[in-house]
Amino acid sequence: MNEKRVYTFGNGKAEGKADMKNLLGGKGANLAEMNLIGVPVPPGFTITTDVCNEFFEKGKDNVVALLKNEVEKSVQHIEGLMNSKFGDPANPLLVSVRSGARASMPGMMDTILNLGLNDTVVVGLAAKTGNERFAYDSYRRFVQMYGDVVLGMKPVNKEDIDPFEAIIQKVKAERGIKLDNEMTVEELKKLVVLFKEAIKAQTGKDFPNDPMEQLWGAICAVFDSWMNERAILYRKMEGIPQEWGTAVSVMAMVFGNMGNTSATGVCFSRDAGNGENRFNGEYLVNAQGEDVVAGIRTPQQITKEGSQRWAKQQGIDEETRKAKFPSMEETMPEIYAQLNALQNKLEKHYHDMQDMEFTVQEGKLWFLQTRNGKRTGTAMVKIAMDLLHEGEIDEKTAILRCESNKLDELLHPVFDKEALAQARVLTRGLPASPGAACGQIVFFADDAAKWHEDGHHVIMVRIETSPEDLAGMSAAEGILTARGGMTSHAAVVARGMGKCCVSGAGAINVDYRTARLKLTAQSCTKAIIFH
Amino acid sequence: MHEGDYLSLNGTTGEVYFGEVKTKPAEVTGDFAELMELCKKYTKLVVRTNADTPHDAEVASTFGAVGIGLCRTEHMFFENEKIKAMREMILSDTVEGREKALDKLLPYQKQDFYGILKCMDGMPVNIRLLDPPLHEFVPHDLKGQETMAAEMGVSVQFIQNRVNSLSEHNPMLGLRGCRLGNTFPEITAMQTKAILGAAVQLKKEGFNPMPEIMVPLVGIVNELDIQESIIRKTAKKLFEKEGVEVPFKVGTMIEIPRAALTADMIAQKAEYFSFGTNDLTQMTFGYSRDDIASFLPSYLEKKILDVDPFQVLDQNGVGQLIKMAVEKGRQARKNLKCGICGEHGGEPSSVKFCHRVGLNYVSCSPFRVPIARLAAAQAAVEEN
Repeated sequence: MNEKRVYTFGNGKAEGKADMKNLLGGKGANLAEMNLIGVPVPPGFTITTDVCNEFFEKGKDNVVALLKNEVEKSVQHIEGLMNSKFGDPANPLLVSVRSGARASMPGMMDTILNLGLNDTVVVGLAAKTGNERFAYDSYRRFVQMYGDVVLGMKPVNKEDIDPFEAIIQKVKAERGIKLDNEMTVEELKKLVVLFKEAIKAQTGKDFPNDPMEQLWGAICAVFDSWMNERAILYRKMEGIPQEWGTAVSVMAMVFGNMGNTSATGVCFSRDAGNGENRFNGEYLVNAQGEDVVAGIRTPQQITKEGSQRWAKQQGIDEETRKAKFPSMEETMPEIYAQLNALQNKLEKHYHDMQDMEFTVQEGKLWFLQTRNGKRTGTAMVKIAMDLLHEGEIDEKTAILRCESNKLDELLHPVFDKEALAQARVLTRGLPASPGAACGQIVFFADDAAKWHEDGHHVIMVRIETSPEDLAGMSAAEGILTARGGMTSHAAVVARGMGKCCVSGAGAINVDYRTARLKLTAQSCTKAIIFH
Repeated sequence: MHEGDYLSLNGTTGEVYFGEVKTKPAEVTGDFAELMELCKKYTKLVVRTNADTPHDAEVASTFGAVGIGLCRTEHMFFENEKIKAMREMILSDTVEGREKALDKLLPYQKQDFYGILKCMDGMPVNIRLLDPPLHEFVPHDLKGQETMAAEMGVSVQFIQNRVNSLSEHNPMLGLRGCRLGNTFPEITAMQTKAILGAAVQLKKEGFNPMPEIMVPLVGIVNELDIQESIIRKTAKKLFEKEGVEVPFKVGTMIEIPRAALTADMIAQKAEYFSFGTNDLTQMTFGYSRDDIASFLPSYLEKKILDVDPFQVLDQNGVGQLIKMAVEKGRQARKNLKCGICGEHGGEPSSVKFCHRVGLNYVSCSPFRVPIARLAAAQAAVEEN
């Protein structure tokens, strides 16, 4: 057993590197590697996958004791590079805590952002940034995420919405506002109080104020999430051994929600759906990472070309697109140029299609993650052949790049052209994962699994999907969501499974309680409403 | 729209349609075709298909299958007139009665083999002689029994007695496989006549049929010995009568552990081995494939088994029998051709294993052919 349990990175240096995936997980190894090749990454450290196994063998307390020294030293390493301190109101350090297994398991395990905030630090952060709204928005997000992931605040029934979302809706309803960003600072402050009360009432636990205590809670929760139901199911589906464990990466926070010169996004060096060599992705101005992936706000396209294609699909004219939904290439041309250069550099470095997460904080670009992107079977074959033609890989590598079982997707039936010409279009969404699917509508994951078992072909229809829906998505022929972009959970997971998926079909209205799907008249060309 | 209503999704364009939109099978073109060509360049193991009908054979050959590794004959007996003749054969209690029924079956069988051999012209087609227990073919309902009684001019009681006499406690280990051909040699003779008769006809028409006749479920070399001589004798007579000779091979399935253990002896009579890993797994583990569902989930959960051995070849146990049988078999017959035709033939890790133990081909269902081809190429690339 390796005695070293924690590997630091930051400021162009790193103790790990790309080929240490087994020990540092894919995320940790790539964070180290990005530092080494000059891609800007916030400083941090990675706790090894071996520790995950120790965690389940020796128990939480023993592992915390074993890690204590190294983790404290590594926190100081970040503090030094960031010129800030954990829990210091004058100059606070905030971190993110993320999982990262050897093989990518998107969305299966837990992540915590903005860790380090408490009632005094938030005041300092507000003063330091001169942005009280940002400070309290970050704080309420942290309490929300920590409550969910570490303290176990979950919805009680499947029809219920998230308990924190319920509180947010209530606060918004009091003033008759619709959007999260319409809330005042006072309302955000109120949310923090209400969140903490709800946590105490439902779980009996107090929200911890000490940042180190918060950190240990988060580290342990990430390890624990290795054994959550959806992660176990995902491993079973993908044939990932349990012994591999997950690493935990702790990284200084950078903020995409510090105003209009800040942004966050996800991008792919090639098209993960059809494999075309086209840089693409989505971003949101003034937002944090989870906003993009979770599909809560519908993000905008990064490239102008992608944005125009998106607008066409949505039936939006060029003028409206430019005014309301501009691409990052148009709104932040300099950052876009940097991003484009770096995505190129990363693909050339890894010789494979990259799936990257980034944040822009007040005009400065940071990479938070890169990995070989999940892709459909079609994209897998096209990318392998294209990289071969481009001279990036040789023939043998091209053969090894393709996963034989994934070819199955290319052998699935496609729509008959004549039948398709006669088909009546109900609505349009984003082409999130290619293929043809038809089946009966179901709204819940467990119904999808049950109907499938009874021999039905089903289409799972959701407002948006979450990792809890995995088993249902796997049983369905196809997935349709009302919200979420090309990088939403539904889209990413469907592409990984090779399932047909249409996401962000904004015109459909899903009512879980009555198990109905309605079409709002505005975007239905034939103006029919279905009951 | 409600739960249960039909929708169709087009994930390539983002369109959502009412109701069910018809689909059609995929094709291998463009990048996919290029990848498959690349596989061809590196692979050592070739991929055949399991196909019982010309349609399956055609689909598989568009996916790049280079022959048929397993053509089951039993499915050919189930259509109307055929099943009647088949039942008559089974229900007769005399050689004459059986031969009369077999004469009715011969033209049907010949026609089926003609279609498949023609479709796979110039490529080997491995046809397995009748394998399943006979009770699978007979009528178990009163109406069916009455029809058969009228057809054959016997009493319903007679039919019922015959049906009952065919019932077995453990049919998968009962009168099936080559035990059928050894108990009723006229079945083997009829099937040989049908296979080679079709081949002769094709040859006369200018085709190049390459039939292989496979004796199933052999455990003792004597079982194969007798079957082989029936096949050869029948062939000789047929070729003399037709004035045309078609080269063909006689081989066996290795699916009983005893056959693997005595592979050197069996190879003296067999020109090729085809590993039937479904039965071989069943008999090596002592698991009934049809009953495994009662304990498999619990075994997987407790990690007694890592995977379902009927899906992923058990390399440490069943795989060792294969390895040994290949080695022993080739000691007796240097150029013994070896292949696999169980479900495992289309499962990537099993295909790679087949490459490593030196099999010549794997055979799998048509839609697994490209998958097996890629896995076979990867095995060859990984070797270096």
